[in-house]
Amino acid sequence: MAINPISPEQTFPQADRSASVEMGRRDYLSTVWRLTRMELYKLYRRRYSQIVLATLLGLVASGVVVIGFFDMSQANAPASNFAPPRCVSLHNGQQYCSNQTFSQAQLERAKTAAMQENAQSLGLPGSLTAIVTVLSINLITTLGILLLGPLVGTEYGMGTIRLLFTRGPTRLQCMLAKVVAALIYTMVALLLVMAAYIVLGMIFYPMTGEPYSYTFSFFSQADFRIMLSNALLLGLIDIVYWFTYGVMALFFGSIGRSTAAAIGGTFAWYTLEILLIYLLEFLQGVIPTGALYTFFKGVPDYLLFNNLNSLVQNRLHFLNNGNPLSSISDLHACIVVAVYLVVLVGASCLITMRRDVTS
Amino acid sequence: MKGFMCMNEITLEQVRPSVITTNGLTKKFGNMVAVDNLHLEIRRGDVFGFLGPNGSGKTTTIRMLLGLLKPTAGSICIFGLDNATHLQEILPRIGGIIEAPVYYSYLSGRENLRAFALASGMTGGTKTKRRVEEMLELVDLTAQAKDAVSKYSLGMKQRLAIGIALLADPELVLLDEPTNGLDPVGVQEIRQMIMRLAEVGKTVMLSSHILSEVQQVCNRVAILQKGRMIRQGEVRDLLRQGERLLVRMNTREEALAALTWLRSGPAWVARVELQGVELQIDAPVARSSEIVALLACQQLYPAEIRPWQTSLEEIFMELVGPEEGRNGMAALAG
Repeated sequence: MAINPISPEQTFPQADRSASVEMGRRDYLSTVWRLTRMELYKLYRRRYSQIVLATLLGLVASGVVVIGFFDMSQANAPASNFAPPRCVSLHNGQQYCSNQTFSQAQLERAKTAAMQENAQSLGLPGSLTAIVTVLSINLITTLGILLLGPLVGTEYGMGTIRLLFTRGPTRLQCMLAKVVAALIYTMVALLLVMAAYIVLGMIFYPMTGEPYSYTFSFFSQADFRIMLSNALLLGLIDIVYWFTYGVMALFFGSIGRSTAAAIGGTFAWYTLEILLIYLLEFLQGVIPTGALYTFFKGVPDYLLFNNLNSLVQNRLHFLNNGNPLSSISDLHACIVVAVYLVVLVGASCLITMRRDVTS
Repeated sequence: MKGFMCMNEITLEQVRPSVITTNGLTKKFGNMVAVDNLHLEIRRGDVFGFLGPNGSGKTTTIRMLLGLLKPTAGSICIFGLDNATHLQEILPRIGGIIEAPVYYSYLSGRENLRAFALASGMTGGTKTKRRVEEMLELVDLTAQAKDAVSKYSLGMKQRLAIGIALLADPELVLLDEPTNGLDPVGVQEIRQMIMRLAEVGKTVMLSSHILSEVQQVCNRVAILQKGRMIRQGEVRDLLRQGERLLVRMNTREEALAALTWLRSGPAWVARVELQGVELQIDAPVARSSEIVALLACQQLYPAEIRPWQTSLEEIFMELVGPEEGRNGMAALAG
């Protein structure tokens, strides 16, 4: 005997869960945020992440100690060490020399100027400039790949991916949470490193022999405002730099389903881009005119490595007057980096959403 | 509502609605057919045994139910909703272990539960922490809660996986080899846990090689072989089909005479085997008095006649064949 069909909600109303189970909000953003909290919870507790972060902090601390002892040795050195080299003993490439005989007062002034310059890297605002510059060095940014590489690869390796994808959230939400967690973790890690350097710099500052000024008058001086804003921007660029390669590691981890693929793939891309730049430069020399030359010249402007480095270089131009501006403008670089990020994140999400999970 | 809705007609009798229904479910990996035209039905409150030798398609089916694999053909309905379009409404109501237990080996037992609580949609606040402690107590891992899971034994990992599966108090529980690696005490505890889940109205789908356990806890089973369902039904009906009578004669000569006569005898005697002086007769238990009467007519008087119920394991071996059945059973002995 057929009965009027009953809607699924009437046939299978959601059964009441145990009173000890408290479910959170189920809207899209709340779910992504909850998953992000889970990713950060795992990241902070993972020994591997702790070691990478500790290594970074250790490098920074060591750097501060080395600079401190160097400055101390300079402070204890005789003033005669600060005279420019005599031109008779010039080596090729040395830019400044003098055969003049300097008085003791002149030598003392030269020593004082050198010590003040040395001390800048340990005291604010110079220490901020120093740390954001160090964090933008290519070799250092590769630590971002190690930091974020296991985010996706490990899930496949351990098999937890099948548990993650069967908890309720969509696969897209799971991937977005990993991206957001990567960004937050990168920001916190780098801000921690910057803060550590600045604080350690202040602690070791007395080794420079220079008195510390606790009054920052630079806000009233245009030069210092430019320097501070560029230093802060360079710090932001460092975060973007690390995060971008971290996202690339997520992409390769999604394709290769392992941490090895994540880290290896990203390092391979990084290396291949550098080799490609050299190859294109060589080819420009081989074919110095025509459409091919224009092509060879134009391609590097769209490589991730060059665009990230141009953002760094343009900031260093204002922080260190010796540095030339990059041929790539900030606007061009920002657009190219943004496109890479969108493509990498989008491809990671698409691959993850469509594949059969057999591991 | 997007997608098609699976309507379950409920008669006035207390027929339990189907929690899981598959219709022509098929999965192919290239040319290999892992699951072939599967029609599965699991009703609310069932403790459903999902049986089959290795490679029969059990895990592939479970993965399709949970959305990890996309079916090549066919449809899946869970809680009356189409899996293809309502997966995110379905999954929060399911907890499960798929193949081997999985966890984050660098986290402790407690941390694993807290992490998966967040993934399951729980708030992560004080109440969730208390729930985590409840689960640790339920699976007897409170003492080892702080230790990294990488240091756990296989049995402890299995118990942790069960804790993770039950964390959000799901309505449907899918357990793939839940007693793997457990000692006899652990196996008994899992059996009791499954029975308790059924008592409180949960639906349990249990895939296991330990058929004696399946026989004790499951009310319905499905048996797969090479991706196809070869039998589905109530356990008691399957066991009834395997009912036999054991007739012990006094001498070997009498046993041989009885064997000859019964083999050419009534049609409702399906098969007769002789072992020593004992005859194993495939016939309904209710006809035992007829057997006695018929033998007496031939001047053969049995010393003893008793019913002998076959086990699920014997039925399984008969259905899938001795070689495949042995391979399946050997998987656990390993």
